[in-house]
Amino acid sequence: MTDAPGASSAAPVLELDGVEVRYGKHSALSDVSVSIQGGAVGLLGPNGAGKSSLIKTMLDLVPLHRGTARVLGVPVGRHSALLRRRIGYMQERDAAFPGMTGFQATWYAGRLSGMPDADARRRAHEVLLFAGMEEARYRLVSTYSTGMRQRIKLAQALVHDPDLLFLDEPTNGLDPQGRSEMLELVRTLAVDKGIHVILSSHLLRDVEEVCNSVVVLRGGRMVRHASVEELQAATEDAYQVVISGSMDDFRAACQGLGLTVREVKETQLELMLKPQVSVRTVFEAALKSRAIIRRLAPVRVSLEDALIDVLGGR
Amino acid sequence: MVIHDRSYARWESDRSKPVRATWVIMDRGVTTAFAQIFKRKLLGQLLSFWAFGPFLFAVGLLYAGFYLRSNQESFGDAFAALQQTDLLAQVTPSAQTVWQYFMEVQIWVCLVITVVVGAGLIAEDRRVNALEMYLSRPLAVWQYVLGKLAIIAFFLALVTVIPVCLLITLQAFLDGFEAEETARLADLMLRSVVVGALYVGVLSILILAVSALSRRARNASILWVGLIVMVEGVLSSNLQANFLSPSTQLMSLYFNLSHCAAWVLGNETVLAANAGVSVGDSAMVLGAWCALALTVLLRRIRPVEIVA
Repeated sequence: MTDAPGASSAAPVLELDGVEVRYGKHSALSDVSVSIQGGAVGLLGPNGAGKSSLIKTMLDLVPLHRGTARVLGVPVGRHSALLRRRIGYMQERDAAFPGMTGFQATWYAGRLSGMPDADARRRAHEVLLFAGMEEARYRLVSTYSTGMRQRIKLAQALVHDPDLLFLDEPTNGLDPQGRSEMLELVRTLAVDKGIHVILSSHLLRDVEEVCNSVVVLRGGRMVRHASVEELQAATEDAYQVVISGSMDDFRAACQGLGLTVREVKETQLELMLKPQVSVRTVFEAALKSRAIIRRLAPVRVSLEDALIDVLGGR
Repeated sequence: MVIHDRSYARWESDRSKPVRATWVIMDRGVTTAFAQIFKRKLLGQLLSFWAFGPFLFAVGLLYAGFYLRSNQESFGDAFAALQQTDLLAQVTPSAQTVWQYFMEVQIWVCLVITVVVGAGLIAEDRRVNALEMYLSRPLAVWQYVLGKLAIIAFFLALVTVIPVCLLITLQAFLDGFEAEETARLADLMLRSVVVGALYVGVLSILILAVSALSRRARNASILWVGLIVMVEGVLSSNLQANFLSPSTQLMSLYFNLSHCAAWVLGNETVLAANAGVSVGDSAMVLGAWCALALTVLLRRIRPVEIVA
């Protein structure tokens, strides 16, 4: 029986075909088709792109409006309970079982996932230790800091030892050190422990550090599925340039040297440089057009915007 | 802080066994509720005394009656005096006393229990976004609802059905399992269990629906108590008798419960007092309340809240 959850070890981790998800009249996902083999995969896209909706659909928390989806070889919407025993989910929102300590909450999550009491207790201690929560495990979750709450959510997602882990914005609200520690934990799971990880984030750096491939979503549609290396090769750097001299000549010179001019104001323009193109080219353009560069500074464009630009999303 | 990967190991186990989620939720919920009640020792003791005082009093009196009757040579006058006070008749299990235990003696305790235990069952989960955590696990909405229902039902049964059944069993023991009396008590126990199921079931599902309407236990409590006070207050017996038609009593939860309970127990006194309204109508109103509560529960308990 190919639909049985246990017979899916060789199947792609995620297989979506023409998936559409709707919240009332609003379409959250439209015609998403992708096949993900496994490993650590990033879900990238700006807020509202449909990353969380995709995860919730895979967990069968949101019904499919159209299309078919399989997780670990199991059709979504059938065998949901058995499928969820093999999936761990760390949600984006701050959430906790009320009135419980870290240990109790993790143990309870294990019990709800079908673990026997003794196993749930043992595993709760193990994953709390793994998540670096051993000293705070007997404190009420309500007294935890944001970083500790993220860790306890990760421990709860791991307690039943899932084959596939969905992490929805796991570094939300974390300081740089906390973020780095969280990503280290996720990398360990994906690389050393053989757990498939689907990491949803709007931060390209989080995905870069952990994942080997990326699915980019925008406006509920899949824009691209590629390896991180492919995407990095295609990403352009943006620079803001202020000049004295003829703006038209400078723009023409830039375009002549293969630079993309994105936005122009009176004496200021924004240039996009492909990774293999040096900043020196800008000075060459200035020399050619007899313009004087007053200011040349990299523009902090949001990473996902740059990514979507590269992929032709605009 | 250095992260040490020193503990994570894969968990090898059979995952095909069904998840007993309802039991897990009930087990944890009951433990947590007991801990909350007894966190304040005095409150816990007072509530326990209030809940089980009448039962312990009845047990003591039944045993005292039995002891005095068995030793009539020594305590003949005392037994006669006890019989004259009518106290024994008030605690000896019968259709009338069981109805009184449910509808008069324990009704206030049950109201307090629904507030203390029931009001926060779903409201608190909604406040801390725990619904998504529950429903992303291998359990269905109905298992979650049933688990929560079982928590409040456990406490209500603990102070109503279980004491009644224990009293009936005690009476059977004290009567020495005399055939005719045992048959009467067995019939009474069966009817009491049916009444208990109705009583506990209706109260549990209603407080759960009220709890699902709010994100705060306190707000759910206010809503629940407000509804009860308003409806039952308006339909209080004096006002009812003087100004309202008998059928308006169908709005009262207490009236419908007591009416159905009296019918199941065969309590003719109460049935005669409620002669203006049929038992079928009361049962239908209770059924409608429960259907409405279930609808509320199924609409409110969703893993994803959709904001239009």
